[in-house]
Amino acid sequence: MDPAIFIPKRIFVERSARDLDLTRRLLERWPSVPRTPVGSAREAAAELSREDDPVGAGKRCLLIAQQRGPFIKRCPGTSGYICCGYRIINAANGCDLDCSYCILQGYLTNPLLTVYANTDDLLAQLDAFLSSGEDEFYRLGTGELTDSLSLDPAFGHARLLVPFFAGRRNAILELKTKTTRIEDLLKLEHGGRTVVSWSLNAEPVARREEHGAPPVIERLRAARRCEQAGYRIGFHFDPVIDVPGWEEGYRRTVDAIFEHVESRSIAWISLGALRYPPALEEIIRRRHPRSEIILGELFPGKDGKPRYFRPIRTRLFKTIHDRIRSHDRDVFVYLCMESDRVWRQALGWSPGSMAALSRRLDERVRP
Amino acid sequence: MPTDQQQPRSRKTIPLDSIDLEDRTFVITFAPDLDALRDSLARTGMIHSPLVQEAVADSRYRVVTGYKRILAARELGWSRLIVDLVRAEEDDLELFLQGLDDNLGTRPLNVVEKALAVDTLRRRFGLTEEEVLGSHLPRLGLGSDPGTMALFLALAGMEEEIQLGVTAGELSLSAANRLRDRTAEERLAFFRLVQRLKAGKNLQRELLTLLMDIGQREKVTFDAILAEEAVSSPAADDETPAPQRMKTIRELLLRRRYPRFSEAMDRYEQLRRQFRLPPRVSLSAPPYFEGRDWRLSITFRSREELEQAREALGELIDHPLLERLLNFPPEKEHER
Repeated sequence: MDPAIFIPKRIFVERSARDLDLTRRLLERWPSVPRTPVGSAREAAAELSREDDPVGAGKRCLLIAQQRGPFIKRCPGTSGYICCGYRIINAANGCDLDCSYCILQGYLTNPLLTVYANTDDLLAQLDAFLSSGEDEFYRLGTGELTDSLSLDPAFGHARLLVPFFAGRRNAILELKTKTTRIEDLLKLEHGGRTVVSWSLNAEPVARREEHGAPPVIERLRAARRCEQAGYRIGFHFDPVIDVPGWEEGYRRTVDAIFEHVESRSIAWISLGALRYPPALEEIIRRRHPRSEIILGELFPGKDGKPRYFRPIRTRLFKTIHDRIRSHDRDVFVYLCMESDRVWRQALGWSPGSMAALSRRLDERVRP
Repeated sequence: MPTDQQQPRSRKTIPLDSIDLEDRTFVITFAPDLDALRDSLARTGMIHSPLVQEAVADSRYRVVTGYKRILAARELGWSRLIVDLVRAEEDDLELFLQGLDDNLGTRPLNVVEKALAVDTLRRRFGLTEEEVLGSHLPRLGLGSDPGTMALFLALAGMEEEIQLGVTAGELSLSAANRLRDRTAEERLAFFRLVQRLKAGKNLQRELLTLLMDIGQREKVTFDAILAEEAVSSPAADDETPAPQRMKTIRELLLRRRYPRFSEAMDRYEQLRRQFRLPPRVSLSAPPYFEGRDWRLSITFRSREELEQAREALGELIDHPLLERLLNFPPEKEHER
């Protein structure tokens, strides 16, 4: 896939960000794209609110802004389920891919693809955060509110963050992606402190639901190249989707992982079943009328988010986990936002708490 | 401030049948209730003359305002009417907007009339989306949202039976909105069902979601689903009260939409019945078996009933199947 493929149709520039280096670089990169100065993200978002599909329109526009809040946040997790104690680096929001299940579609107050250009502040905050907890260990990632690499040829976050983390012993950076935009990564000094992770699915699900993302096999080829460059690799089956033929689809993807990447290079594999904020259902129906994800047997969970009926989730996880185990007995597999009971029924054990899961994951990547 | 009154028009008495009531260039009236107007005309005559456009060549007069008054007069058997005339060459859009203003100033428009107004401005007069969104949609009290405009344009093109249903409040506007991309057969089949069962807005939404999901998954249209004997038979059973028929059909569709959950619920009910709890003691599983919190409720009126409940509670605690109940669905459920 051509890394330069994304060209915004319009660029909004927050006035407070106009003199920042990243702003200048982005404007130079797309000199012919119309640009509009705005006072705030809200002003830019208001321009899109008259569109039939503000979310779709937001994916074609770029807002260059200044992050006024903290760049680093705890992953909010979800109440009543075991989470992994992750921290989010909020350097950009939104994504040029258009996955039917993406929760970012529900962020209607700012549907614009947004990059925060005050990267000096980002590094200063990271430095202060990691220095203040030198005895702790942190897993941080940029891929919760955006795809870590999809727009990286333009944003350059990897070039900024990978060398920064290379010198840190109390943290690991995780870059999560569905894309193959790894060229920059291959040239960077990572010092073993970056995990590059791919979000994977059964290929028929990826084809139907992950619009704009490359086929699973291409993602795995990119993973192999990163492995060859010495990176640890992560895989996230999230969301696992219950559609006819899922067993065969996920079996093939699991087999393909082990055909492309050595087990010892895999930091972790996570499994998370489809779940979403209730309001997203109408958005999915409207924006992705051919999507089949909402046709599953989903019911409100303890956090109010629709999830598959528990025995269905258990079966999905157990089947994928068993297949992973048929290739490797030791690779670390964990569930994302699941109950103790589902852990035990699907994986045969449970960490029992967020702290315990967090410790297990830390152990995988501590120097 | 615009204080100018309209230029005086020429006034003329014309035969009522020289007015073309089929020509709806300027008319948005839909499903009018003429009873009160007819009585008023019969009692006091026509106080405000309708406004009509002069006939061109051998055509008849076109109604600009006063369509309902003319209909009521015709029902009363009047053969001639005094009308105000506008010239044939006057601008059609201007006349339409005058008629619209006249309506907005004298009565509330129903949703279909608003839809017809939006449709006329957009399609017949070719106003841009921005023009309609910017000034006309707000004038109709519809805000300025493109989605609302799309809904009202779609409603204007729907079958008259559907439009009448929406106007009468038998079909919710949100259900009509969700039906807009479906076939006429699907729309009508759904409307006739909810009309027959007197389904309220929430039930309409639930039924429609079930039908859409089942239809998409099984690749069938929902008029076909509704024509199936299992659904059409209880729907048509007028001997049974509507709420009961509604319940039967809803449960049928829910089972079809959520087959694995429904099967599990059947097994759970079988298990729960084995505890033989008295009617005033009720046990509720965690919603969708997702959490761990069970709920037990006891209703009593006397010490005896409370004693009875205590006894039932004791039996429940000692019941050999209690663990199975609390761990439902069982660990092996997922392998079924």
